[in-house]
Amino acid sequence: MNSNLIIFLALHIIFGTLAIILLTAYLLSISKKDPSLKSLKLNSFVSFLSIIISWISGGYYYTTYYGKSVKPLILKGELSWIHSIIMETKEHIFLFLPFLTLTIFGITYLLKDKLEKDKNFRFATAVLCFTTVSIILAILIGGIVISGAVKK
Amino acid sequence: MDWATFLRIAHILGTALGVGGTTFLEIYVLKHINTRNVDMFENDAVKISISLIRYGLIILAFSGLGLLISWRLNMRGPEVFFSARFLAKMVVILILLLAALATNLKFVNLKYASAVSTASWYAAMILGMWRRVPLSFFTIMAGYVAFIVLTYLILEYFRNKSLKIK
Repeated sequence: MNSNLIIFLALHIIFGTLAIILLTAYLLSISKKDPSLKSLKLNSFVSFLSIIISWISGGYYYTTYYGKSVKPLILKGELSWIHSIIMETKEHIFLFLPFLTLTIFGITYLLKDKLEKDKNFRFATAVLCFTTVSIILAILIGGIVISGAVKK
Repeated sequence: MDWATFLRIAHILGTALGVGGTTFLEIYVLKHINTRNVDMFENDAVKISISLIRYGLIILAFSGLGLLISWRLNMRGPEVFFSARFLAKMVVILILLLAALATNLKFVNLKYASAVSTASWYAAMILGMWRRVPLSFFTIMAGYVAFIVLTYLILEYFRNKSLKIK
């Protein structure tokens, strides 16, 4: 693997992890009695950007390297199901994430008054945020499992 | 300094902050426990400890993933990634994260959450340092559950002792 691919793989992981951390911070913030709108806006915006960067860098790595160099290695081993089930699931579920994080970002920016005043709406947004964090975490774990299936 | 050394140093630093922060927090809360309904989370020393633990977790997350990237680049394979020790450590960390989230959202009894959290930090540290664990995944997890119970009993003993002194 050349250094460019290592960088893209690292960026994919770093920004995915950053999105988890920021959305968790968003979840903790929105659960307070008096959430700071400034921190909610910042966390939702940066987590959306992080998912986009993770998507692009992961997509580049997948299309230029994984498909032709890693996938055959996994498929010929005893753990071929790791590609067939986990990677295939990961590829498709990841597609939800830019839209979920965009929704959280949109709610925070466009419906900030409702977010401040309506406790039920805040709870619903918190549930959406928790769901998004859970999906990203599941995808991260999937990525670790896939990496573990690659051997010489 | 190569990347592997840098990542290991960062990982140890994160562990020091997390384990140290958690240990201090537990001792401080036990020492200052009171029967009045004062929210311990409003206390400055508690807030600082919680921040340190959070920074420790963030450093651990990034450095840990960095170490996994180096494993992946060296194609260490299932023998390392799916070893009993590593899988147990990952489960412990997941439980720790869930306990931390539940505590922050005030979904759980603080007594149980603090026992799970403290035991998890120490268990993850031990599993990280103990290179060749000669036990199966289920044996390690059983030991971990026993460790949580033991931690709860120890904390409960000191909690009651502290309340009696007051």
